[in-house]
Amino acid sequence: MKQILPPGISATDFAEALQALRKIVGDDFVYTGEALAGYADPYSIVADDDTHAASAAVAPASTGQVQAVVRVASQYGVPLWPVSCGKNYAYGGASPRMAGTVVLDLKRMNRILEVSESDGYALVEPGVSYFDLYNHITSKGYKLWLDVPDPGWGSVIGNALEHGVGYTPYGDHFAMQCGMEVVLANGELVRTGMGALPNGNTWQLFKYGFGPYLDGIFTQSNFGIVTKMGIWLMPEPPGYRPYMISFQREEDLEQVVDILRPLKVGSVIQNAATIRSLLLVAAVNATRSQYTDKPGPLPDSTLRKIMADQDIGMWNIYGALYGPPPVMDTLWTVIRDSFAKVPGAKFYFVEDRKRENDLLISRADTMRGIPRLSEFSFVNWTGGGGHIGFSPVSPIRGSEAMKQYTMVRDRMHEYGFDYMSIFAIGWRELHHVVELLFDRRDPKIKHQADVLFRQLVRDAAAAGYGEYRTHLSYMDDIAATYSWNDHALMKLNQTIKDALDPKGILAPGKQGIWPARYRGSPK
Amino acid sequence: MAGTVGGALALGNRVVIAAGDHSDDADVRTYFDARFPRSLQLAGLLPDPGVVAAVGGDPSFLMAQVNDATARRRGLRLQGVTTESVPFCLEQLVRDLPGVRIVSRRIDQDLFEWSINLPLKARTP
Repeated sequence: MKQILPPGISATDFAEALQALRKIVGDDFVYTGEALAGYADPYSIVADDDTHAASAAVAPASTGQVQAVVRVASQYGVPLWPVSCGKNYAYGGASPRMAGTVVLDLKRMNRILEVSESDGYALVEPGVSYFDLYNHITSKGYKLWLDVPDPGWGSVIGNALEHGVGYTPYGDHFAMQCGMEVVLANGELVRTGMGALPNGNTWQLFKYGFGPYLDGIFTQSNFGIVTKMGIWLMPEPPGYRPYMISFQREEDLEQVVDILRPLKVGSVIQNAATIRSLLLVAAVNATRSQYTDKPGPLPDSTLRKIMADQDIGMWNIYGALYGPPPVMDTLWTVIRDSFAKVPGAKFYFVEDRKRENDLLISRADTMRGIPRLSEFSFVNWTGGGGHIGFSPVSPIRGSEAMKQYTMVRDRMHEYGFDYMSIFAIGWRELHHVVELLFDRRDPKIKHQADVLFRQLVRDAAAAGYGEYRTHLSYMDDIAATYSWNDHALMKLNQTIKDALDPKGILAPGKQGIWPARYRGSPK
Repeated sequence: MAGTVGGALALGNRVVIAAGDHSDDADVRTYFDARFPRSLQLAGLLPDPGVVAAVGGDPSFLMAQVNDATARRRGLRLQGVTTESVPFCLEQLVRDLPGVRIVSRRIDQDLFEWSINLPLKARTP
């Protein structure tokens, strides 16, 4: 196996650095060669397998070990790429942005340090997955609900730091975090918010502390390594009722979104509801080859057949009601009456859905915080299941949703891809998460997907839309679209980066932020 | 050992045997995807199929089987003919188990044949 080195580091120095790391974490927890297979991005669409290849990985077991690793990295100039559970698939998995970076794998730091049932929070380390925290809460019998993203194997901390979302009323994960412990590039340890108060007891209760609110700069960034974080948990509600509403026509999207906005902003829709496109829902239950063996966009007759077979719509809202039954009844009356204005709208509760793998049945778990992996089924749609997410943001406005939809759909069809998406409803915005599916064993299709993705970024930017998250391969492209006032935001990010990490060892290139030592050089 | 597929077949297209239904004594568990008739046929041809069951949309219960076998220091072979998300998820779930790797091969556009072996250690009598 070819050895990859960090840029500018000699093989001798690198071997010395690895030896120093072994002394900190133990021989079994420094990985090289074949042992790095698990750090490759399974959904990489770049032609060169080495583009995001790690040179090694190191897995510390404690904050103290993280500090020691950082000091060694600083001494040798070895770049580190922190990952929590490494399951950020479709955005790069555990791979680093820059070839030769050493993955700092925090999987062994998997302690649930505290769960407060009365105050409704947990304090966790980065290696704690949603499955771990859910199992802990249920085993202890706490009357608390977790909020989970679609696949439950990811890290609670990692997902919040990447601005991930879930589907209960606590669906904005970063909004629900409270208090961090962070290792800086010089090895120093900092606690944010009330955590800076020795012997305080409000670290997980009040976010802002005293002075500037810093937690945000440690999200989607390379300014520090988060080793502990508080996350708020939802008290178990007295009632829960998940629902699905389907709409029959493509053009219904506009009216649906306009109806949805006041319901969401006014908290009539309580959770992070989603609108899912026909094929994304269908793909959980079926594959493309069951409907056609022809390439290109599916004709309307096929789309209608899929809708009939699965009793789903061209657009499908998945939401849930929470609270005492009379409250849920009242909210449901308002929601149902509002969407009944859309001709052909159909309303379902779980008991109305009979198929074994029906999406509402699995969403019923997800929207009450039970982690699952069921949504991975959609990657089977084209066979060979690779996917990456294209995720532009828009206002919650029907005309904007339609504009994004038609813009993206037409481009995807032009390049021979099926359109599949989720519109996730935030407090004031729509995350339009488009799933670009490809056969990961087919280099030609992967190349097409790469060209298409870059085109989509350009299209979106020209229309004034930015992406909220992206795969490693597109971080520079997307960062470049946030260019107002001669890239003032990136200049500020670089200023912070250079101040906090002058040697440029933490996650070079993360979100397009390069330290001075790599700036301007080809990656 | 003959495959015990009778119960699954009797249910036709709605076949699902949940994780909890599997025999505790089985060393081999074989999975198929009920949406594809060929999947069951091919799964039945895998070596020593043991308990044969349909796998639904959520493969996370397979990890519970792996954890259980690991805790009991029992050898376990999981195998199947399914769509790719099942072996993919399983591969990621066992990533940190030393020496445990999934072997898979594509059969057609949709189906993959796969297997994973947990080495036998001090088997519980």
